[in-house]
Amino acid sequence: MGKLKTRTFVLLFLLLAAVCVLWLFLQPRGSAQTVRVLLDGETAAEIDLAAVTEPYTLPVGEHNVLEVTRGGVRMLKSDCPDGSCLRQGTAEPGKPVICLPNRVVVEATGKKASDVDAVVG
Amino acid sequence: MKRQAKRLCETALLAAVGLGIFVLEAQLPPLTAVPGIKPGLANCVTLAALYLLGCREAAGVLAVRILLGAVYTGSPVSLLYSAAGGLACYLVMAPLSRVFPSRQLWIVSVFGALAHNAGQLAAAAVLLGGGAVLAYAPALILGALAAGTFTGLASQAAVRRIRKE
Repeated sequence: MGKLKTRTFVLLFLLLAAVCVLWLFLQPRGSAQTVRVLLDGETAAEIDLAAVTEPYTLPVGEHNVLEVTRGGVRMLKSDCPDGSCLRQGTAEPGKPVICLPNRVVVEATGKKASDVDAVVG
Repeated sequence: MKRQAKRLCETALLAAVGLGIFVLEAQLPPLTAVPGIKPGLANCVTLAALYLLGCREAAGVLAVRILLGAVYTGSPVSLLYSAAGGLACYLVMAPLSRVFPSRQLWIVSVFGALAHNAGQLAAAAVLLGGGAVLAYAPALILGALAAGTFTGLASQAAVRRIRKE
């Protein structure tokens, strides 16, 4: 194997950084319309935000409580040690709220509920 | 025998330093809302062990830090993330440390940081049962590049000074 040049790796790392910045910018945006809540990898709730009239709280499992408003869903309470899910704000498309220790994922999509599920009636 | 005792002593010393740094870092407030982005300063010590002592000793230093680190700071779940990240990081850094000389130590560190975050992300994907965590990938890669460079340069300076290069 030839000598590994430092410059090659500096370029490689810079390229990787550029790709990631681009990736962050190209992530789908837009307002959330449907929010899916997963607990332990299973769907615990699916919320159509357009159907939310009054803000309410939604307990997920024994450890977390979500706040659901027309504008979106955020983590209101969690007993996890780091509490980082509480600082993640409202779930948006491409920007889920995740509580790793309690295995709760709040995933938002920009699609209407009718695009996701089969249309009923 | 005397040499072995000295080596064991040095390994234990590095493990203690690593654990100290790890516990101290855990007290710092999180840098960002994305979990998993942190300086990873304790990896300086794993790197130093790889370069100053050897692969086996570094594995010991890392294992002691992860196990005792969880006892002091975390929960069983955080131990799982720690172990997934640490193992991935070690598996990448150990062979690379035999390829790169000490003046390129920081490159090994960056690859290790990337592997660490990839390992944690994989653990999270398995635990959470889904790809939602992949949304964190670009932020975690950027974090690993920055943190890996920083801790790598710090470790590199220490290793070269200790070796009197």
